[in-house]
Amino acid sequence: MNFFLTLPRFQTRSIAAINNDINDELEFHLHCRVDELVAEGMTRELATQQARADFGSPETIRKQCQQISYGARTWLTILNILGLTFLSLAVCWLSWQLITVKGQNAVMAKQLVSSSSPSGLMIAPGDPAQDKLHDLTGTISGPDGPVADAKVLLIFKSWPGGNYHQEAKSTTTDEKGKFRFEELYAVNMQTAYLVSVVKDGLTLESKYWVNDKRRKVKSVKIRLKKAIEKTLTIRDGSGELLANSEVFVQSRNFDPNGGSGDMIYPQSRSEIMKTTDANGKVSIGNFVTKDKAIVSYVTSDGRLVDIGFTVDDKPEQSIGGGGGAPKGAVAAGVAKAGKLDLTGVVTGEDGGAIADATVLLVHKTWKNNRYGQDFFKTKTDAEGNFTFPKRYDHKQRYAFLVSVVADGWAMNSNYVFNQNGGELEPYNLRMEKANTKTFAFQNPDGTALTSTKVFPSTRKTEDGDEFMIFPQAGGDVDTQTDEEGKVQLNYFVNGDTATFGFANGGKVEVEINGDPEQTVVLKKK
Amino acid sequence: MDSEVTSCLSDFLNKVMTAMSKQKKPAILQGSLDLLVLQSLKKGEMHGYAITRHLKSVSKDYLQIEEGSLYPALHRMERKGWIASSWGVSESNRRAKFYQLTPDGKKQLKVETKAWEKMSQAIDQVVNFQFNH
Repeated sequence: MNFFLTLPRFQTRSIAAINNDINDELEFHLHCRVDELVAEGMTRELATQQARADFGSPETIRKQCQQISYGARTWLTILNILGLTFLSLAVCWLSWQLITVKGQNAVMAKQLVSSSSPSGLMIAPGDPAQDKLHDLTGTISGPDGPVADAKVLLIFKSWPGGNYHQEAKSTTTDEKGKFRFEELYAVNMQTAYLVSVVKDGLTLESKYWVNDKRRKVKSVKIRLKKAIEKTLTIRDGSGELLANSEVFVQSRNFDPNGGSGDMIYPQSRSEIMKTTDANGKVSIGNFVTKDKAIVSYVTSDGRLVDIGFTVDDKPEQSIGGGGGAPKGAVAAGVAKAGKLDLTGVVTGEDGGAIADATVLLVHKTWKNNRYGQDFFKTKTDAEGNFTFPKRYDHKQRYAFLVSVVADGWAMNSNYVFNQNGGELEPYNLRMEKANTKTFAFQNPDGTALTSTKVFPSTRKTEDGDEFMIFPQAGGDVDTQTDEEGKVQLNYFVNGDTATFGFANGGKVEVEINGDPEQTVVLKKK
Repeated sequence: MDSEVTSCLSDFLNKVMTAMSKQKKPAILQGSLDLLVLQSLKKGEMHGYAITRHLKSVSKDYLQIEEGSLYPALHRMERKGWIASSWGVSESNRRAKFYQLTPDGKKQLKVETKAWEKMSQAIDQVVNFQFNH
């Protein structure tokens, strides 16, 4: 081992320079992986998510590299090299180094603290300018100038500490067509944005971008076109009229062979729901002729169903009803039966079956390079078994997030991504006993958060394991707070870091303590 | 040497991993990462990403590595003096850190290769051992 190779570098390079090199190196790897996945046909957004999943925890890796580059072993190594002959010189040198280390430790401590708050993967820590939250602004215009009173829906994605987070927000344009999301993002991490705009009489338009350069985002400009007035008659999968049901426009203008269209994430749907009449009719004014469109509805069992169709030039059009989607359109959520069942068993720590547990499934597919995401729910039987019948085609790329929620058991989930497909073995989800716990939710001003639906969104254990429920599926496991803002949620254990989600897309993080009741205060926006 | 080690690895893995489910590819076996990295760098200098692609390609997608775990290993090996690094520009015109084998690394590669061959032979003997009743 050649110690002298490393010594000069240690003496001449600052901690900041070493950190920058580590950051640059890891970032280079992620860039390469994203480029490769994009070249294989994946969208850049998905590729970024996948690259991060393949990479492992960037924070952990960065810390490991830092420890190796300037960790404790370095000191022992240096002391060995210097030896007794250079003792006096070493004493002077060590004194100087101890002063330096004090500074280095301060930097490291700051970095560790910042890693638990929203901070980025590859950014030098502790720069207040980078922690500052910026507004996202924009202007919506149409054929006749600025569009007032348009609904602007935002899906905001970020990767604090290397972990993916997604939030839905909405606002409305003012008389000048302008909108603003205040104090939304910092430039200390990668962020991504889907801005969708809906206004009756004008086309649904959206814009998606990733701020991987971590710069201040310029004002967004989106132009809407004149749409046709259209009355849709909607039928469900069995051919029955979809009467008195809530539907929403999910996308238009997409290319089923992989191009990106204009879309709305289902998470934002509550903002733009319309209701069909007793004859299954609803007026939609966001399409133009020949659009490849998707209109979606939610079934009584909570499943999201998409109906794909090509918009014709007539004022009325019938859609849905199974097989109603014209060739070329995609009916992503019309549960296209796969060939294989997805099965599993949910047990406790002792191996005993957990019956009646809620099992949520997010099924991701990339058919024709078009990303699709479907949500399913089931319950375990008396033996703890669950089945999602004929769920997947093992010859295609797929991903599954299976989340389990059972009263009295700590929430659990498992994510698999099979790039080249393949058969899955049955899941074996072993649950840990949870605390019996009442949470008292409070608004930032200290008043009780009453009659509000809340769901367990994420759970991070002290060992660093992370479990999650997709926000879109949160409605399947939510519980309402009472008049004192209290709700019993027995899904966590002491020391967990829990995130609770709310129907409006909001969330709050809390560290679980050992008390039977714990107050959770929402943060001020 | 490339083909020797690759063939040795494939042979061993084929035997040991047959019991594993078909869809699950094995992770890099503990302790073998250093050998694989050093062997990869024998080909010439490479950045970390190229090393992961090389391993994937040579093993015909058989070996899977949690990509991030490569970097602590690279930094450790650099600290040990087995590899040296320098910053350059990648094929995609980005700033990248390239690693190359040092003379100490070449010696270590020989040591690791011998150790691997011995272990592989030993496991082979166990796998092929037949009981005589």
